[in-house]
Amino acid sequence: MLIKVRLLFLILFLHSTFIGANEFVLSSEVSLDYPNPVLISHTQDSLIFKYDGWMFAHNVVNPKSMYQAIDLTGLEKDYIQALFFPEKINRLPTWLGKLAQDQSTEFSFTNSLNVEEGSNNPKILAGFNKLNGIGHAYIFDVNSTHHIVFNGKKDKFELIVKNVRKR
Amino acid sequence: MDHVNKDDLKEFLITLFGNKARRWEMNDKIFNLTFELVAASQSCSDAIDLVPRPMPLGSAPIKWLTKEARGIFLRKLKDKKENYAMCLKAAAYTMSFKFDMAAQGI
Repeated sequence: MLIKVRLLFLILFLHSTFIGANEFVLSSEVSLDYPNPVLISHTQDSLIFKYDGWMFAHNVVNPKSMYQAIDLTGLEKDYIQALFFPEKINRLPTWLGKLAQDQSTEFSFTNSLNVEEGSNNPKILAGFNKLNGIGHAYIFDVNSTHHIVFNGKKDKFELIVKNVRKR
Repeated sequence: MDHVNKDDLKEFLITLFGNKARRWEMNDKIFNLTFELVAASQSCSDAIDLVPRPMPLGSAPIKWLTKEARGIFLRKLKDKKENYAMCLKAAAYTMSFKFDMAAQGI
């Protein structure tokens, strides 16, 4: 019986974490545990982790450059929330509500994986589109919002989101 | 792509993605992604209307578009870049990481 319980805990542990994970420090408050990638690539504004058959990339949300010719400064958190909760679109200025509607349609998430802030994790809004295999997660840190874009299978996306934690 | 094609494509992508596109090498992958981006859009379809169809399944646009059709497509994107950038904003944000990867050659 004891062995079965231990086995069950081991299985649950293996399904919620990466073996041999590395720590990716997003800020003084938040980090992400990730498995060894095939390669890491740095672009002007994001860090890409590439694996065999999947990838994710991280960038800090910049309200001035999220969209060209649109400055979301001061509105970015409300805007991002509206992408996940349609009822919040009406609280945005009309022009921004239209953009949020367009972006929600473009995302077309088939699965949501929103995480409330807890003692071990920050607040996360995440969604995955199983038709194109693309997921987006927004991590609300003390001084900034992090964006993770993912391409691959849903179970890997869920693991990435679950491996975001407070430091 | 010839130099004119590359210049037209870069001008359009700078309008769509901003300064980061200035550093991108205009390679075949970037062209294919741009075509995919515009083709998937419901509201920006007039650029695609110029392209002969049906498109062969699984074939890269850079391979099957004639040089002339490719030039017309890119010129139209450049000439109406502000209009296309407006209606492709959401789709471009969703696909931005693919352009980053293509530009890095990964």
